[in-house]
Amino acid sequence: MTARGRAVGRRGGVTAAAIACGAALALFLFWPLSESLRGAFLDGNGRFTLAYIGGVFRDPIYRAGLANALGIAFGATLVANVVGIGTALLLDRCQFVGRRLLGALVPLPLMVPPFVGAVGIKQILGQAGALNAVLIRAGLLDAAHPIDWLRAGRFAVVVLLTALHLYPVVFLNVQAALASVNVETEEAAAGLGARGLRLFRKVTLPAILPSVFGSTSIILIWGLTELGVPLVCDFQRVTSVQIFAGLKDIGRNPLVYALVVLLLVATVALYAATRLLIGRNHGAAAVKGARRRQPRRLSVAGQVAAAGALGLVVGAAALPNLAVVLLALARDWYATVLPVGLTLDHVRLAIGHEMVIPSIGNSLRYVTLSTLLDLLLGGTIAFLVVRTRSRFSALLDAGAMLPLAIPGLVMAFGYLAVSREGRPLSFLNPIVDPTALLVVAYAVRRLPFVVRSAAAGLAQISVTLEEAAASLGAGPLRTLGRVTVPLLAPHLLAGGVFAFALSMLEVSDSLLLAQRQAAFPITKAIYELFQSLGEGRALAAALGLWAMLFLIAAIACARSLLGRKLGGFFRL
Amino acid sequence: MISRWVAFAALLAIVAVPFAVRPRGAPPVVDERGGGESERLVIVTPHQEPVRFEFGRAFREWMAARGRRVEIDWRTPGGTVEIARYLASEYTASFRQHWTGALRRPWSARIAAGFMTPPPANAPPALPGDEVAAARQVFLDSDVGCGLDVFFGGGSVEHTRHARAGRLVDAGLVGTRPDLFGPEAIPQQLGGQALWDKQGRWMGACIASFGMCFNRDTLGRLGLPIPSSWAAMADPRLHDQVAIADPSKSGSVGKSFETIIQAEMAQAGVVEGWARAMRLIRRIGGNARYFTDSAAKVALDVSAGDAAIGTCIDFYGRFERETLTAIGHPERVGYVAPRGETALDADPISLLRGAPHRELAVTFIAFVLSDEGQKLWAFRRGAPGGPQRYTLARLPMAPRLYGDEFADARADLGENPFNAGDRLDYHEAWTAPLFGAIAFVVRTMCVDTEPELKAAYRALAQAGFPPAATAAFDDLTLVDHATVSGPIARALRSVDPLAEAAWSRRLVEHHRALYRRVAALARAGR
Repeated sequence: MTARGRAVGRRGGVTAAAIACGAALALFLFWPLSESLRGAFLDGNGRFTLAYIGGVFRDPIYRAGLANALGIAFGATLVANVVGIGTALLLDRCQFVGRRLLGALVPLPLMVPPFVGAVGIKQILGQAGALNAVLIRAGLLDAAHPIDWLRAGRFAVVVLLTALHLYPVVFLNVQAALASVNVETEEAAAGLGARGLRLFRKVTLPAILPSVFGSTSIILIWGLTELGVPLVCDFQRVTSVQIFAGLKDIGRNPLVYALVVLLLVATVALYAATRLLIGRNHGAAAVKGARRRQPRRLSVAGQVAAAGALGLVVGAAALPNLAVVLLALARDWYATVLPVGLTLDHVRLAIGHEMVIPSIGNSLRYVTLSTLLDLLLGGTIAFLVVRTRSRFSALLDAGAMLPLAIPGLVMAFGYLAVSREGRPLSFLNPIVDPTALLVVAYAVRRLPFVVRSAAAGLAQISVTLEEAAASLGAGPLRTLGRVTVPLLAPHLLAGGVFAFALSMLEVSDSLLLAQRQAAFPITKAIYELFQSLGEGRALAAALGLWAMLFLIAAIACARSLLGRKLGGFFRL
Repeated sequence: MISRWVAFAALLAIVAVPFAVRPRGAPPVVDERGGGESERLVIVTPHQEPVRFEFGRAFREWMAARGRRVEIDWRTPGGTVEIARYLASEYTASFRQHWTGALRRPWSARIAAGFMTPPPANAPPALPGDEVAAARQVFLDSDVGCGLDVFFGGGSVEHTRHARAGRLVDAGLVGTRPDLFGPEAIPQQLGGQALWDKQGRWMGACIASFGMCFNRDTLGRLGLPIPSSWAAMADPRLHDQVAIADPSKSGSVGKSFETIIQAEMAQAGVVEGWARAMRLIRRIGGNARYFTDSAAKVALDVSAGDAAIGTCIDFYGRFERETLTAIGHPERVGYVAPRGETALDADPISLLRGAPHRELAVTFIAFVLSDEGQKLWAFRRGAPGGPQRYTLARLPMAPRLYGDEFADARADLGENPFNAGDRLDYHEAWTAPLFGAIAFVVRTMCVDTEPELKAAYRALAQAGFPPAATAAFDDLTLVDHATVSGPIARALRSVDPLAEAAWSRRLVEHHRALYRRVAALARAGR
C-alpha cells in the first residue's frame, strides 16, 4: 500500500471509529438521558414548556437546595484541597516513621461501599456512637447529655465528611504532579535565594496547579451531586437529596426533572470552565527522565509531628472503613467505644446467605463485561481525542465525561424507558435478563475514568514512534497493534482495574435495573440486607467488608501498574 | 514486580474465598429463569428478605408435597413507590403494543394518560368516539400483562389504587372459598377497614397496625415515660429525637398519619378533629429528627439510639425487639400501639392482569391465606408449622390463629386486632378522599419546611409557650379542613402538574413565614 493509500485508510478508519463511538454515546448515553429528562419539558397535555424550569427558580426550597449544594461543593473542595495538597507534600518531601504505611492508607475512603459507609459513620458519630463513648469514658462528656454530632452544625459536618471522603482525589493528583516536578528547577530557584513558601509559591505550585485544577473540578462536580453524605446526615435541603426524594415521591413532581436539568447544566458549566482554565495539555505534565527529589529525613520531634498529623487525617477519613470492619465482627455495639464481643457469625451467615454468593458471581460477570466494553470504547475515544484533535473528538471527549455529572438514578430511569417492550432496545429489557443493560449502564458510568487513563497514557507516548512505524511500512492497524496498544497497555489495564472496582460499587443502576433476586449484583444485595431489620446491617457490613478488601486489592493492582500516576484517573 | 504479583494473587484469593468456604448445605445458586421441570411463579413485592425467604421456602415444600416442583422468581424493584411506577410504565408499554399492534389503532398522549385512570364517581357517561374511554374499556376487557403474576404486600391503599387503575383482576377466590372469606373466617371489614376487596381484586394477607417504637435508654435519659398516645411525640423535650417516615413516599406511612387524624376526629368530630390533628402533627414535626423515605430506618435508628422514638409499622418494632432479645438486650427497644388510637390496615396480595402463570398464582394466594401460610406470619421460628429462619411477628389475617391453642407457638404479638378495645374504628368517609392531600399537607407543612418549623417549636418551648406565639403556631390558615378538602384536593386531581406545584410553593412559603414569625414572637416573650 502506498503512503497516500495508508493515509486515506487511516483517515477512513478514524472516521469510522469516531462515528461508532458517537453512535454508542448517542444510543447508550444521550438517548436514555433525554428519555429521562423529557418530563422536565412536557406539560400535562404533552406540549413543550419551560414552566417547570421557571418553577424551580421560583420555589424558595429548591433555591435554598441549590445554594446548599454549591456551598457543600465549594466548602468540601476547599477542605479537600488543603488536606490533599498538605498530605501529598508531606509524603513527597519528608521522610518519617510510618510514611509508607500511612501513604498506602490514603486512598481508603474511596473504597468503602456506599450505605455501609453510612452505617460506619453513624456507628462512630451517632448519639450512642463510639466518639461519645470515648468522651464519656474520658470524663469530658456527661452521659446524660451526649452530643448529637450528626445534628450539631450539620452543614459543617456534611462538608467535612464529603471532604474527607474525596481528599484522596486531590492527593493522588498532586502526588502524580509532584512526581514529575524536576528537582533541578527547584534547586536553581533555591540557588537564587527562593526558600520556603516563596519557593513553593513561585516554583512548585505552578507545576502542580494543572493537577490541582483538574482534581478541583472533579471534587466540585462530585460534591455538587453527592448524595450519600447528606442522606446519612439527614440533610434534606440539598439539591441531590431533593432529587432523590422527588424521584421517590408517590405523586407527580415534574419540578424534580427540571432540577436534574439544572444540576446537569451546572456540572457541565463547571466542566467547561475547568477545561478553559487548564487547557488541554495537562495529560503531558510528566517529564520523563527528570531527577526526583529525595525526601528529607525529619528530626525525631518532626517525625512525631508529621506522623501524628498524617495519622490524624488518615485515621479520621478511614473511620467509616474501620467501623464497617468492627460492625461485621461485632456481637453488639451500642454506646461503647468498641464492640462488646466479637463473632464471625455475621460473616458466616453472609457467606451462607442465598443472596450473597450469587450476587458476587453476578457482579463479577457484569463488571468484567462492562470493563471490556469500557476499554474498547474508552480507549478508542482517548485515541481520537489525543491523536486527531478535531471538534468532533472534543465533543466525544465532553460526552464521555458527562456521566460524571449525571445522577445515577436519572440514567437508570432512562435505561428502563428505552428498553421497555415495544421500544427499539426491548431486547435489552432487564426483566428478561438484566445482564446486557447492566453491562451497558456500568460501562457508561465508568467511561470517564478509562478515557482519562488512556488519554493520559497516550499523551505520554510520543507520536514519533507511530510515525516511525508508519514510515517503515506498517499500516494503521498494525501500528496500533504493535506500537500504540502495547505502550498503552499499563494505562489501559490500570484504568480497567479502576473501572472494574468502581463498577462493583455502582448503586443506582443496580437498584433499579436488577429486579430478579437471582440476578442481583453485590450492591443490590448489600442494599437489600442493609434495609433488612434484625441482623441485616451486620450482614451488609460483612458483605461490605468483602467488597472493601476486594477494592483494596484492586487499587493495589492499579498502583503496582501505575504507581504515582494513579491520580490521572481523577483529572478532567 | 513481586508486589505486582502479590497484589493480583490477593485479588484472585479475595474473589475465590467466599466460593471456597461456602458452608455445605447452603442453598444452591439457582437461576430462577426456569430450566428443568420447575414451574415458575413471578411475584413483585416490597416485602423484605425474611418474608420472601419464609414464604418461598414454605410454598416450595407445600407444592412439592403435592407433586409439583415450583420456583419463585421474586422481583423487587424497590418499595411501593417504585413498584407503582414500574407497573404503570410496564402496563403502558404492553397496552400500547396491543393497541397499535394487534388492534392497529393510533396511540396518543391522551390515551397514555387516561387508559388506566378511572373516571370520577359522578362523571357523565363517555361520549361516543371518546378514544380514551374506548381505550380504557379495551384495557379492562383485555388480558394484557407485564410478565408478572402476583403483587404481594404494600398496603391496602396501594392495592386499591392498582385495582382502580385496572392492573389487578379478580383471583376468583372471594366468591368460591367460603372457608377463607366470610364471617366465620376472614371478615370483609374490621373496625371499618376493608380486609379484602368485594370484587376479589385484592385480599389482605396479614394485618398491619401503626404505633411507636422507642428507645428506653434515651427516653430515660430525657426523663420521659413510656409513650401511650401519639401526643407523647409532641413533648418538647424530644427536640430532634423523633424519627418520622415521610408520608409522601409510602402509602403505609400515609396510613399512619391518617390514623392520627382519625383518632382526633373520633374525639372531636371531623372539622375540629382535623384541626387538632394538624396542630399535633405540627408539634411532632417540630421535634422531628428527619422525615425519611425508608420506614425500616426509623426502627433501626431508634434501636441504635440515634432517635428516642419514632412512628413505626407494628412488625418493624416487634422484629427489632426480637433481634435484641436474641443478643440479650430485650430491654433496649419497645413498641407500643396507642390503645384506642391506632387503626389497622390490610397488607394485601393480589393477582395481576395478564398473569402468565395464573393457576399457580391463584394457588399461591390461596396458600398465603390458608392456615399454613398464616402461621408463617404469626408463629415463632422453629414452632411446628411456623417459619424456619426468621420470626416474622406479624398479625395474621385468620382470627382463629389468635386462639389460646396457638399461644405457645405464637410470637409475642402484643395485640389482638380482633379485640375491639385495642383499636380505633376506621371511618373511610372522614379521610379516605383526602388521603393524597394529607401526605401533601404534611410534606409542605413539616417536611419541606423542617428547619424553620423546628426552630419555631424550639423557640416556643424555650419561651414557655407564650400566648401570641402559641396562637400563631396553631394558626391553620391554608391547611384547615375546608381548604384542604376543597381547592387543594382539586389541585391534586388536576391534569396540570403545575397546579399542584403552585399550591406546594404557596404552602411552603406561607409556613416558612409563619414559623419565622412564631420564632420572633417567642423570642420576644409574646
